[in-house]
Amino acid sequence: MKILLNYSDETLDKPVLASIIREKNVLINILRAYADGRRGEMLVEVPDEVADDVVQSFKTRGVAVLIQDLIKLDKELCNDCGACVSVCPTGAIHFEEDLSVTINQSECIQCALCIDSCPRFAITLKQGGGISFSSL
Amino acid sequence: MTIETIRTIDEVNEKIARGDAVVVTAEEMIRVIEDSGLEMAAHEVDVVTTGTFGAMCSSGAFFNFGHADPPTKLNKVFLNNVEAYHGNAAVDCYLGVTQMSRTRPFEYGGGHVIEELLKGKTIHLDATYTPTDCYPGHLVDTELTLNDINQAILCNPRNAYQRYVCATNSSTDRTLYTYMGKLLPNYQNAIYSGSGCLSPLDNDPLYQTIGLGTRIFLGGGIGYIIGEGTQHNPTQRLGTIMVKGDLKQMNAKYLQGATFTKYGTSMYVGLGIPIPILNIDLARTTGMSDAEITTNVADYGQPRSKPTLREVTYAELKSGEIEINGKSVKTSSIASLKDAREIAATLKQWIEQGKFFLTKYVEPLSTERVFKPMKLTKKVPVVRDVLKPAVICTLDNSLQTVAKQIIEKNVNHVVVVDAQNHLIGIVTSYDLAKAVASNGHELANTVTKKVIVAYPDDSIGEVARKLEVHDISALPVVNLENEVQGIITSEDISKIAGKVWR
Repeated sequence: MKILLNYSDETLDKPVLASIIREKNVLINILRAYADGRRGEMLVEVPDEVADDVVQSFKTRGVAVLIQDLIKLDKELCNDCGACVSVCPTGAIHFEEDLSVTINQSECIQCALCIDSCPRFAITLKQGGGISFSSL
Repeated sequence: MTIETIRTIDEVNEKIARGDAVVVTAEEMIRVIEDSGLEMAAHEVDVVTTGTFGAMCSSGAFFNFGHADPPTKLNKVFLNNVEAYHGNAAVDCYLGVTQMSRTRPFEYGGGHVIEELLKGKTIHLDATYTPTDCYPGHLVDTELTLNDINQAILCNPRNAYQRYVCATNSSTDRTLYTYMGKLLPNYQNAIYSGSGCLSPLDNDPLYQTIGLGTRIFLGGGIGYIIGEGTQHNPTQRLGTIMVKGDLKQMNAKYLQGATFTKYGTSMYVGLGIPIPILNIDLARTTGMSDAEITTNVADYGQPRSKPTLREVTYAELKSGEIEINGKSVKTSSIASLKDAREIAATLKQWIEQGKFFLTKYVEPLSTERVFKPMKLTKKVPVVRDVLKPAVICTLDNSLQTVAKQIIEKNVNHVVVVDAQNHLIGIVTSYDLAKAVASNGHELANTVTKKVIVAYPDDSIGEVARKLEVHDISALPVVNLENEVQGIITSEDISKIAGKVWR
């Protein structure tokens, strides 16, 4: 499962991830990370069977965790043109059988390539501390 | 060659009036032919409907607002801060969809104003005026809805390109933001437009039934073809149409403002043409499948020539993946195929329900018009005309030798080549200063090896853009074999600009 971690300036200088990995003996894969000295954001993948426990561990250590809907496609605005589909590196954004465009949340890695490919401003990323990956 | 006429448009309309016309979409027609054979299909089917829903930049609307009191001859007109062209009578104007907002450029444009009007929203009109004896005038500042406007006429000079290229990007270092969407470097994706087997004009490629006066589906309502479109290029199978229709009976679902990042604004237009099956030839062309319809893959990474990389069928494009130079490349459309299909289905329904009758054109579209590039009376300078010989060195030169060259030749850039004059890299005076400051000794560690280059046929505009985008001050000029031909610097370009202005 993918989770989005949001570090404040208080948690940023602590080895939160490392200590959870060692304490829980769990494999956590870092998909994306950003830190600027004041705040940080990290997208990680954790094994489903221990996900609840790991999420709780981050929260106890003061790291905010976002679990669902890391990316949002506003179907009121989307006209299924497909401009975003070939830009998506993981295939998370795809055409359904009926040619409508949909996003498979679990495959999204929040790379943000799709955001400015949309002629209708229909795609937004869920962000923890207001850090936009697209501006990196 | 004369082809036997199976039915006339009058006969089709009689059947529509009786409610027993046989109508299928262009996608369904493929199956009808598969099941019944071409001959039978031609006799069975009266009308084939088509559809497309893509960004069509040559679109816009005429508005007549009625007269203000005191009577006012509008000068500059803005609708939600988007300027509308006002080279017509006192209170007429034309709002184009690529015109961008003066307050939110590259975000909001004429197409968005049209969409908001169709959604029943209030828009803001402000205008300056020219005082005359018949129109004393006053500054106009008012709020309007579509109901408040006397006439709103969608009038698009160029819509429904018969087909369009599929765009990809060969450049190794830059994502391109184009009217064909976002093109990732190194052929990471390819984007196509046009709805393939549903494409209106390509279903009747000789325009046997399409011309001035043809009634069509336009923006969710009824519209008309009013002649060939601008850039109509029939001999290349790149026909276009000019269309108009009453905006007031259209629908925001089928006219949507669009924004292409770093390119500008446009509008998605929904358009469908009914093709009466007057003869077996029309049955054949309307029954063509995506596997039989081709277009070219063009390299937008070379913006001037956009060379064709290969031919491709719409079936391949719609599969989501094509091969370019041995690499598997993801494809997607930028024109909604789902909506194109819905438009063809809606038009079919209108005809079946007796709400939409076919028209005979008054004049056909040209099948011969030739589309030429602009005649330029002043030569546009290219790199070849202005490049200077480059000061060169090889990797085995010492930092000192290169520094000497920079001083003796009074340049800032030295181009690094191999024994065969192939480009290896570039060294600037700044690089050298940095190397000395950090006690560097090896030229190889100082050279920038990832070099942005210019080609002899590049325009000066392209060079200026490269310098600006990459924030650099010179480009080595190489030929296609990567042999150094010279160098072009920002100073050279300033000199040319100076000449133009003088």
